[in-house]
Amino acid sequence: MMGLDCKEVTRQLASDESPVNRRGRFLIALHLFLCNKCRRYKAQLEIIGKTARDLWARPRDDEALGRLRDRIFMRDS
Amino acid sequence: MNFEDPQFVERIRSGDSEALRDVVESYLPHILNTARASGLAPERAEDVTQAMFTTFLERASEFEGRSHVRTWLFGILYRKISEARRDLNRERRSDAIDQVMEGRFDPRGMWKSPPQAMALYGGEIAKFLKDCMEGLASLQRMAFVLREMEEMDTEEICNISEVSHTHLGVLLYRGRNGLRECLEAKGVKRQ
Repeated sequence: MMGLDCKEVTRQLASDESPVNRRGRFLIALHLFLCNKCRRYKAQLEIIGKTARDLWARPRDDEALGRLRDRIFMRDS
Repeated sequence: MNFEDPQFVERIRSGDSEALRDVVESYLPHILNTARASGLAPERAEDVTQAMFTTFLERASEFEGRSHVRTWLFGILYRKISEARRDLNRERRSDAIDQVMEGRFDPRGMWKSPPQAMALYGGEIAKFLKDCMEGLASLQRMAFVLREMEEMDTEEICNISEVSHTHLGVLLYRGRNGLRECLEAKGVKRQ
């Protein structure tokens, strides 16, 4: 028996609920080691997070930033 | 620049223009980015960003330094976005995604219909993800944006959006699974 079922593992992963103790961490790690479906689920969450970060990559040279600086500091002065 | 230095907090409180400018410069891209990703139209996102910093400058003397200046800024932003999107403060007790996820598992809690390999979507995942984000409830979307894009810890997000850890967990669970299911559905259709 793997200790935790897949449903519980996915719930903890997706809600960012960190295990309260060493045993909890061990059970999650063990389950992921044994279960390729939950590993794939975890990989999906990671891909989604990374894609979102890339999608709205910080607008460093965005002209909107210049425009906003003007608007913010004009109001201020 | 160490924003947690008590001297820096004091400079913000006293309205030191260089310190205020440092804060604006450091956080303007993050705030604008978050406003855009939260689902506001581009011009709306800029208006909200400006309103957020105007409030910050007006109220800088009230900053007590008990939380990080970033938490304070994002707290103001969060309230501005709530005003712009009236639906932000409502999260349903139950959500369709809860049933969808329930159906993914058998009574023993094992996968009945397992997740698919995401490589299936190749380079088109970004385009699909953008569409799928539109389908999320706004609070779920906001939680997802702060967690994944600003990479904040859950403690800070709870402080910014004034929700409990349990509530935030539910929002993240629903948001991420909503996106997963949406992406899988789009991928399946393409086969």
